[in-house]
Amino acid sequence: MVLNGRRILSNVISSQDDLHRRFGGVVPEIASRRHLEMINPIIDEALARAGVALTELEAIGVSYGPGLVGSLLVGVSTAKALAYALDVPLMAVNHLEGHIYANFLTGVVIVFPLLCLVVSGGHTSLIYMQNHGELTVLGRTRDDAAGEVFDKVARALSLGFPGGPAIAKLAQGGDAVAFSFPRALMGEEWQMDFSFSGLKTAVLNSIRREKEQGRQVKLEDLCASFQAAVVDVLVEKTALAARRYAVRQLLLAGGVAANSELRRSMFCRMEEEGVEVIVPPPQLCTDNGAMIGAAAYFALRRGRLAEPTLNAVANLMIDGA
Amino acid sequence: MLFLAIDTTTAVCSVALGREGELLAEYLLNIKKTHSQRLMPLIISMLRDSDVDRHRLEGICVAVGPGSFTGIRIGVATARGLAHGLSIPLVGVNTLEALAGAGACYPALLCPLLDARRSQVYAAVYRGGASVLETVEPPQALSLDELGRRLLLYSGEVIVLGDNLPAFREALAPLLGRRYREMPLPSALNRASYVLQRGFVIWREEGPVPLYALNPLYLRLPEAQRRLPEQ
Ligand SMILES: [Zn+2]
Repeated sequence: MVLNGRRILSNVISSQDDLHRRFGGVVPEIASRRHLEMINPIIDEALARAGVALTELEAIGVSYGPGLVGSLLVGVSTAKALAYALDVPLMAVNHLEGHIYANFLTGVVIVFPLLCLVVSGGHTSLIYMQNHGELTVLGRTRDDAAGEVFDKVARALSLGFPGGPAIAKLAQGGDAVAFSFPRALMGEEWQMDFSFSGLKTAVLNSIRREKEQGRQVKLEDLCASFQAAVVDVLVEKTALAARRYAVRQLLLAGGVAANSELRRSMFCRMEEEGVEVIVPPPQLCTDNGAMIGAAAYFALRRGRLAEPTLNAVANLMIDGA
Repeated sequence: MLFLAIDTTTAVCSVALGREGELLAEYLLNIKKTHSQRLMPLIISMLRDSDVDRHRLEGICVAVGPGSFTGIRIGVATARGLAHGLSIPLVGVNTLEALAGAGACYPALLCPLLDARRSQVYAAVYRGGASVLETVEPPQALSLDELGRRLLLYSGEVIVLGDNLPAFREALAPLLGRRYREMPLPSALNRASYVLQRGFVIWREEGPVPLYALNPLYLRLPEAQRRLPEQ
């Protein structure tokens, strides 16, 4: 429950990580089933925590993509039915855009134009935002998302799922230059896209090589070196874009934005560029309803209402492309 | 009691409106397009065309499966969303049992069947002719061969119902010989009016299902779970 796009009244999250852990990743059918079980109870819990009656709701926002179509359909179907039953406007929110709007819930004054870096298990996108609803993707990953590579490396090291927090923790005690991993597309100044599959292969090869030679993989060093390679690319590409588009603010978003090394490094580098970095608190970095509520509020102000024909769009692009 | 009924568990997307013993409206699309796009517009236009304000609805019946996992979820999520928002009760109806209602007056074995892929069907067997359907074989996922073996255990005519009977005819017709009958097409489709009809019976006998407890009848575990070794 979000008031006027800025104030969180409640933000209830039912995480499925436990459910998917033994499969080493999200199983779409299992996720869809669980979402359907949880969606109505979680709506009631959010209302109760906010002290709001269902009939007091003034609008509903729903994420309609990108993502797993089965999961999206549960949300979209529920939201359309609920909005019709309550006779309130419905807004369809791009999930990625939702991540960006988590920053509007931080209380910091936000000044357009600005730059956003969305990094999660599904996305790595650098976005130029001129105003609400005016977003241009400057670069995106050509293969794996940053968070996805964290998960895959974690799986190869049997660190469990999701992999980000485990790797970040191990990396704290490691030597970030112990292994030299590639930083793809780094030298190419004109290029704002990302590529992480080469890095993933290099890391997996290192793990195999160490094992073949009978050496104990020095987990801390490997994690620190891997994390540094990801962070370096993210930070340098962002710095490049910040300079080229002369922005004053950078909004970090997505699950990987909770990574403390990324935050630290980004703050340092952006300070040099004179750019203010805004990061949501960790609980607003991972997927949550409040960020969708914030984005929906600004969509409503622009009169962007969804039709009853609204469908889930698994590969929804941010600039409508 | 004015009820809305929804069935999106098969290729048919259908909604109906009625009271016990009275069907006011039924809208049906069988165009193999996504139910997600069509379901709410169908409900909205049916209510509008029937001059029924959404707040006059007193209950919702929904087909909970078996059928397409995605279709089931679209129907159940929509029904739950409407029931939640309108604060009205819900009734879940088994898709096969609803379909068997089409042949309830015949003193025969009624065998609704749907394609379950992976060389299986979702099927059930009921005995019609009396005032209530008698369950002979409960809804299950099984091969056509196995279904045929089961049907041979019972006597009498077998009326098969479903939206894809030609696909099953070859396996069942020779086996059952003169006992084999097909329900003609319009009545052989899953449709919301059958769900409505069956829903009223359940409503009378068992009452509504609490909102959170209205869950799908998948009849199958997710693929990933089925492949998991026994623990
Ligand atoms: Zn996300």
